[in-house]
Amino acid sequence: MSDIKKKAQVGNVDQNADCVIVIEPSEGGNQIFLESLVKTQYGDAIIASAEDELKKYNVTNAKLTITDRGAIDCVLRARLEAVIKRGMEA
Amino acid sequence: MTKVVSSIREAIELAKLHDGMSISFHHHLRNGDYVLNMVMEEIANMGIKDLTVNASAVFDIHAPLVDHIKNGVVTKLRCNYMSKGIGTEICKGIMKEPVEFRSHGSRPGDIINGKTPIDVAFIAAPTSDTMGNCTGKIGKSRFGSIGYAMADAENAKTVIVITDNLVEYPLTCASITEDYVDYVVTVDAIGDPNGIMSGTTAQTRDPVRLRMAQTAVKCIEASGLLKDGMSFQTGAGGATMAAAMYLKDVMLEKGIVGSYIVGGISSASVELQHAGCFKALQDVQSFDLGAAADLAENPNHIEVSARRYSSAVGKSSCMNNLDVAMLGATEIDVDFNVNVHTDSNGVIMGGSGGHTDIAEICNMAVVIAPLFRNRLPIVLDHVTTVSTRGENIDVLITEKGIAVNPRREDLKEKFIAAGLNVKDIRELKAMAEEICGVPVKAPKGDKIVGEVLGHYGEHVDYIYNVPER
Repeated sequence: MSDIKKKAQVGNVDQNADCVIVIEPSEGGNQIFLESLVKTQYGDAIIASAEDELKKYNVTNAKLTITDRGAIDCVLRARLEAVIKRGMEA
Repeated sequence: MTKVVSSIREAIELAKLHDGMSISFHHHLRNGDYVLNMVMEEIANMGIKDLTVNASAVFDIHAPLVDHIKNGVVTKLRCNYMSKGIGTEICKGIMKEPVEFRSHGSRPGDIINGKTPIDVAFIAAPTSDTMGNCTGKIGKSRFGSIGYAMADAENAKTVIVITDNLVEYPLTCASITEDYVDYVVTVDAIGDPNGIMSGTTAQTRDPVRLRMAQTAVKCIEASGLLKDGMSFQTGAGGATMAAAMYLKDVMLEKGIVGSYIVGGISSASVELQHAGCFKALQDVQSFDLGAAADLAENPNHIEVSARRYSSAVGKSSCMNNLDVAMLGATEIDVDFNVNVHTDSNGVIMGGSGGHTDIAEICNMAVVIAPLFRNRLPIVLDHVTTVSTRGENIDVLITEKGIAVNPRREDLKEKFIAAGLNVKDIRELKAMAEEICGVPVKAPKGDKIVGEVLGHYGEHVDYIYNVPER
């Protein structure tokens, strides 16, 4: 039983310094997929923030797809929080 | 007599172009240029191989060049700027020899001093007469100044003018004259002049950039250089062009009349000159159609060759009397070295253009760049590629503060006295890292794919391939 109830999306698809995040119910643990303009420079940091936010909301079975165009960490975390909350709504 | 021949192919045959020769192009039509592709296609069809292409710049419209490289038609490339589409391919290591990146000054310098001789120059001309007197100032494809092509025309063994507006002899406003030209070819269109306003020349409304532009003008005021007779250079970046507009307000308010604006001339520069802020415009490249139109009509808007603009081989250049220049940067390091060649992944996406020449000679070289762009801090310990050496950069302006090169204590004192927000460059780096985190450095390959040459044609840095991930 997934804690994410429905598919949800946040963010701006064609805006630099922002990101698009999609969350979906999943099984067998969290999966995070990342595409980023700054993957080399900040890929690990982005994944770490995503894992941190999922943990904060006790999400254990979600598929998270992040398409990042250079969002700074506070923007990324705000988007993560929003998408998780939307995905948890019934 | 006429020099008009029936086709590009006939002109190439008459020029006796053969394997191993060097050919040249100029980039005034920027991303709207058709001529390089037309000529290269014909050359490839003729089976000629192993050519050196010396183009003042290559843009993504020139993507077919990549195939000509892969097919061995082109084996050596020289340019002052390369946009990212082609740069990405070069960074895969598709060429045996590194691309030579010069500046707008060292390119004509090395053509004139014989280091990079040209066998056949192809000149895209919006208007030409039947003897090859030609100009960019009039015609349906007009682009304004033809400054970058002048050294090519004067020094190449054979000069072919390609035009889409052939007029009766003599053309009375020629920029390049018949005594240099061998053949004239007419085509339907040499390019799309709307492509001129490509790349870096679009005007900005970004509040961060506008704020930096305002700060830049305050720095000019505080430097003491803002007085009658001041000369000014502005690049094609959003913030640097916005700075020109703020400068206008201050100059009008104080009744200051400057001497000249030099460089790529935009409509913003034209506006300053028309408003009476500057007496003259020295134009090596017209950045938009408004500037091109003004060049044709305004007697105080003059066309200058790249050699006269910024080369070290002439007895002087427009740089020698230059007071203030606004420059861009992809990265700058704590020693003020600037990168405008590669992005943070090491992919080629630009070039010096006039950056290096201007910084080398002018009194106050100001770099304007935001603290970070798309999470990437602008200030680093070491730039990915050194385009312009730090010893030539005087000031960095960001939206969060101004850093002054320790070599310019004089400026620093003046800025502080004027109440400007002066910070150590390492402080700016730390501020960016606090917001963005410390970036992991992209891995460099071990194959040299490009060499950066400076104002005098001297070695500055190498560019390496980008390893596939």
